Amino acid sequence: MKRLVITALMLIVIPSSVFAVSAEEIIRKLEENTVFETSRVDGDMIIRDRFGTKKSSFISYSRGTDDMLVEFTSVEEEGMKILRTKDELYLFFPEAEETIRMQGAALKESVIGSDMSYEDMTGGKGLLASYNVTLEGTEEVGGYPCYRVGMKAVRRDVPYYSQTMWIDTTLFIYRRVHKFSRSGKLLKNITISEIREVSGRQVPVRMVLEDTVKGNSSTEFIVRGMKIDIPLDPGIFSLEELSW
Amino acid sequence: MVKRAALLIVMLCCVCVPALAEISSSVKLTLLNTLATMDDETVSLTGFGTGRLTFKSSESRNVKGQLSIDTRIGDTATLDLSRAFVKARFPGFRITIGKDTVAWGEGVFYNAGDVIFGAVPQTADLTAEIFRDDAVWLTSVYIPLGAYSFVEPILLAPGLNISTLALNPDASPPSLGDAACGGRFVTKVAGIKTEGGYLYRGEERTHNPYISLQGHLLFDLHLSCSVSVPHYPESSGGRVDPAVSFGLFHLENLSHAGSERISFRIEGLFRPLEDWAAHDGGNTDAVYAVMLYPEIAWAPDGSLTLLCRSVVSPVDCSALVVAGVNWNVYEGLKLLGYVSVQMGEKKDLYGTGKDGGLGLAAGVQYIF
Repeated sequence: MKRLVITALMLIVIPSSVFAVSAEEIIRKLEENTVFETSRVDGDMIIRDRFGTKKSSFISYSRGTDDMLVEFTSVEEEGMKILRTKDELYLFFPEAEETIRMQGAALKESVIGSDMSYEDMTGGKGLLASYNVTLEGTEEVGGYPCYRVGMKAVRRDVPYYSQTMWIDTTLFIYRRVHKFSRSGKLLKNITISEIREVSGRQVPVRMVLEDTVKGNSSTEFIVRGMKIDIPLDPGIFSLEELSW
Repeated sequence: MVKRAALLIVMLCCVCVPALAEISSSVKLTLLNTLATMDDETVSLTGFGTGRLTFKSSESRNVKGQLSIDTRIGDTATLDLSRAFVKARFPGFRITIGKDTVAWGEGVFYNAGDVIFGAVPQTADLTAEIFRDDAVWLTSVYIPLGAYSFVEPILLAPGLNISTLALNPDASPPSLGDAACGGRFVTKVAGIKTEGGYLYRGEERTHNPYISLQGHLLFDLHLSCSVSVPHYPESSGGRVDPAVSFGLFHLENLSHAGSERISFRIEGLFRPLEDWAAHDGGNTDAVYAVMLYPEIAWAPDGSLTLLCRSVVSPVDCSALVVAGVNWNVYEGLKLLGYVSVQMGEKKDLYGTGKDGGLGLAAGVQYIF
């Protein structure tokens, strides 16, 4: 009975309080939560398709919204690195000692056969700079109340024309994201299945990315270890580190 | 004396202990059964494979070492040390010593900017995953100049055949005059990756400056130019040898999310002072002024790729065409299948009646 009363109270209170915030504020809070001054992540990418499962491991370093270095550590891709800076994306193949600048069409290629494209890694400009956002209401995702935020691109250099994000009303972390083409077709679906506290911050540590057009395929990202706001050598985000 | 020895041991420990990092190892095996027609109209069947065993140091942020042993496997096997290097990073620069590869210029197949290994890949095997996989004994210093620019001076020792030297200790070792040295500068100018460099090749006594540009305008584009200038043009009979290579790449998504893709690549090599007329003698070593490398690859999903590559010699109107399938079935495992056809007459660079005029290869690649 007590629970029912609490739930009823919450249902009355939440809608009136949730709309007290604007879509811009929600996105700002989301970015405060998901963008770190610096971070180091040890993780796995599990690619599932109709033939089975492939697992790749990686270490990634990031600084703010712009800079990121990913190094693959699994045997098949060992030493392959991806460097993202404000305007550039580079790839390093250790066997050929070759650095490739990814641009134009090459950005559409899939990252080691996963459901993620290199283009997906280029969105480091900040959501509010790239999209017009509108608060479309609240909905539950996996039992958690979420703001539903619609986003429409204001720049041409973003990989998706529009997105819908379901952002947890208390944690301000997205629990689901749908990415659409210009024609409104759902292209990618991201679902967060686990959030954990790391250094006092709530961080998604398990998420599934599905290429909805491909079908029968998904890529799960699992964070095995994470350090936030640690001192990082600025040289990590350079061609020198990429080709090292 | 004891003090000095103790100091030396302490210094050695300081250097070696961080370098005693964990070792990671990997094996890459490519095994193919090949059917090929021969010039005497017989058909050969060969089982052939390659393997690469790699040991890499890990853990240390500032020291890296790698040893890779390549083997070619038929009924017997040959061994080759394809990589053996140590890299060390110091404040402001890093150094590489040993046998390693280095990628100068731009180009997947043709690269006029590659003044170290040549504009044409040394093994033009169209079934290969990487066309430019050669290594050389080098000492190079990498000096970063900001996030996107660097300078790289390099010294390449001449080839040393240790087994010849072991059999004949009186044989003279390679001379300093046969070494190659130079450097390159890489930067970004107005969004275009710009690379310029120079290499003096002691064995041929030639000066080799080059420039390479890489950018994007509707297509991914690259252009490289180099020229080989003999140091003693009168005595060696050498000649100035310019080369220009270009490349275009475009990838088109056939599905909305990019899961089905088709890519087009064309690269070309112009050596204006080479032959513009076809040879009549069936010379397989003929070097023609224009060569092209077109490639189409269709990937219906992330694991399957169907491709068609070709080396085209427009001067004698002949071509080597390879169509293949590459299927990444399980983690680390690829199924491979290739059909190769030489199109042309026997006197051409590629000809139907030549060895390997028609070939069929099927096999696997496994990395573990």
